[in-house]
Amino acid sequence: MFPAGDNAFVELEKSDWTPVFLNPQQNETLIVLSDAIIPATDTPGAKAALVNRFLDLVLSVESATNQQEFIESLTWFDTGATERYKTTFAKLTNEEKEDFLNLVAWPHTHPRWGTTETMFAGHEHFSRMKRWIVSAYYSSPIGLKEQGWDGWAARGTFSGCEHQPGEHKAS
Amino acid sequence: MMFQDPLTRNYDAIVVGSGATGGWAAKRLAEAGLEVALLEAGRDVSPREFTEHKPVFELKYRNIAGSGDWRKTRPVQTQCYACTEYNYDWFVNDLENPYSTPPDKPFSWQRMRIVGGRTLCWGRQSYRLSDLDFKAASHDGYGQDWPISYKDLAPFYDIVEEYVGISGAAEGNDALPDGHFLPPMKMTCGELHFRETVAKNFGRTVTIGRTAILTEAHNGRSACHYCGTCERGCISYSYFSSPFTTVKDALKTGKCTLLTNAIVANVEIDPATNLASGVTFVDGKTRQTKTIRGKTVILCAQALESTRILLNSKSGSHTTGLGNSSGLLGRGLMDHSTGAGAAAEFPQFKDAPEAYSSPHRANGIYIIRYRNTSKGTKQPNFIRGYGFQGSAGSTFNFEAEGFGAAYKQSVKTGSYRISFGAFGESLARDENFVSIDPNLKDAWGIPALHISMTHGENERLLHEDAAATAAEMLEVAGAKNIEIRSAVAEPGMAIHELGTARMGSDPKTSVTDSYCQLHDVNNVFAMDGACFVSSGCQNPTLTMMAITVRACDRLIDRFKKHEI
Repeated sequence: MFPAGDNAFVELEKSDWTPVFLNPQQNETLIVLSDAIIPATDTPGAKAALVNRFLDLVLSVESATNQQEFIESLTWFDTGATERYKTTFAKLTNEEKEDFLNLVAWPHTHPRWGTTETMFAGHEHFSRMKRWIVSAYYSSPIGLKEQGWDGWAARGTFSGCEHQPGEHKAS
Repeated sequence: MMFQDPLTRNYDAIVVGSGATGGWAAKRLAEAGLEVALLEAGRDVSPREFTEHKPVFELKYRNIAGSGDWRKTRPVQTQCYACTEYNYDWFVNDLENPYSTPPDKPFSWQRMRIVGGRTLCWGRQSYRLSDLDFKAASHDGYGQDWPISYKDLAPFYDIVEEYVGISGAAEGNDALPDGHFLPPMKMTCGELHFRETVAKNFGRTVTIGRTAILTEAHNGRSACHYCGTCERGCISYSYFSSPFTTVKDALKTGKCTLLTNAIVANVEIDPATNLASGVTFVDGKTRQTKTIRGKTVILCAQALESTRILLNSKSGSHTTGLGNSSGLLGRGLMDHSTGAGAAAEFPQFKDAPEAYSSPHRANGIYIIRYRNTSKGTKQPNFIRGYGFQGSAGSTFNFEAEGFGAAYKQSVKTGSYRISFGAFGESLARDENFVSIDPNLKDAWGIPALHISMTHGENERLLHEDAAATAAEMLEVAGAKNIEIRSAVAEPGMAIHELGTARMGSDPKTSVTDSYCQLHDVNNVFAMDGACFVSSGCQNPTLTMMAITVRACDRLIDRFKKHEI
């Protein structure tokens, strides 16, 4: 099924890449959001891993429901940013992005006084986008390196526990 | 050697199916000098299409897209973890291979059509049954005993294990007889700790999985290199798959002809002799119907496919299918019950996650059955038992909360977890059956199966017990945040379909004799999971192969004496 050297990733790296599913603003929001959730640290982040390009491709063949939910959640970040900071998500300062994501990244951040806690819709949108972004990042070449990929298939011998009997907790 | 059109010959044996059992039948018979035609419904397979070392980003959709082609064409097959964007072409196209079920009785029928069949992607766990299984009815009064006992099959388990290469550890536990093992794979710290505490507190055996993966070079194949994704093929042939072992040996004899894309529709019966004269198949490429002649017909097509062929072989006095004078052909369908289990954190272990490029063990731990194995472990509310399969170790924590640099760090720190799931005995019940759906045909015009199966009350109670005992073992081992599940999954999900042409001594209550020969027709055999009388709770492939070798040796003997 796969001719030798068949590598779909090169398609995503092409300099003339354009989105097939997202519109330019959605694409821009996704780039910035993905890189805020998985930023460059001592290792590259989501933007460098071309998370937006891969998700654009995946969404183009996704079910209508998944497509719709993705766009709904992505759009929510622009709507929320506009409401709170009067600008789109992509144009937020780093401090504003941090502030905004802190509001939505944790469950139950929006309890109403005197009522039972309700799930904050913002957290659901965050969680949905994070799931997509995480799956795209950690399946990219950069994401595999993040998991200790050295460019080769795994190999060797599985050594298992190397402690003396009864001392397994030593690790 | 002159090429001769296979369709003009009269073979000593026609073997239908080239998987675990068909491969063995072809090897055994051809090596004994019989002229064999090996018919496979799928295409040939080449090591060039193995993808176990292909990084996921090289796939167009990285096996993520919910609507990718592999999901559109294989909505049932992708319920199997092993059917992915990498290898889905090995699995049947569900649109071309339909079957029906009652609306309220879903059944997930996961199967492959390619040389090697499911041995290309199988779970490789290999366990012997014991007399606790073969004589289960005598123990608890339910169902029928097998017409064979452990001592009848033990020599054939030896032959199969010797050839296949099973790594594992002898435990001296009567519920799971030891075999001839290659060195066992290693356990993790968490697994060893669990083994020790479970033995001490409950007297139960946690052992390393007995698996058909080589831990040292064996019979011309190399030791496992621990890349960890066996279901995508193995360039060193370290796990057992028939195309590169048994089928290869059969072809090497020069006595075996392999016909691919040969989708068998039915067995042909000569009314004058009431003997099979061959099989009719549809050429998957040309869609032409062809007949191939043989002196014996050996069905190794997978339990339900073999029974489908027999049910579709109506002729003369065989008005309800071949071998169905008992009315039991198709009855007694089993598939191990799955779904119960537990998962928890093992916070006392701090190991970093296994790096992507470090060795991965495509094997786990096995907890040997401990219910209803003796008077002392007899249960008040259910019969038979279950075994657990799982593992403990550190994995990347993609589920970590939050975002940013802290999230990236949490992923790398990982989490040490233990989890395992039960495989429970599925009782043979005649109300679980397959029949021919009169209104449904596959893409080749062959009448399709109707599958009607549910797990029953015993399976439900067994799984409730499994969840409870899983939790108690984890608790004692110091695991935290224990999550248990006890719901029984839909039948088919174990991918251990068994029964529907059970063996027995009495033609009134069974379909074949103890050598897999139909009671009704002397030269037709059902040598795969179809002949199982009861399911045990052990993964069945090793037993199927041993039964095949035993049946073939008997067939060879009779063939040489001209009794067939």
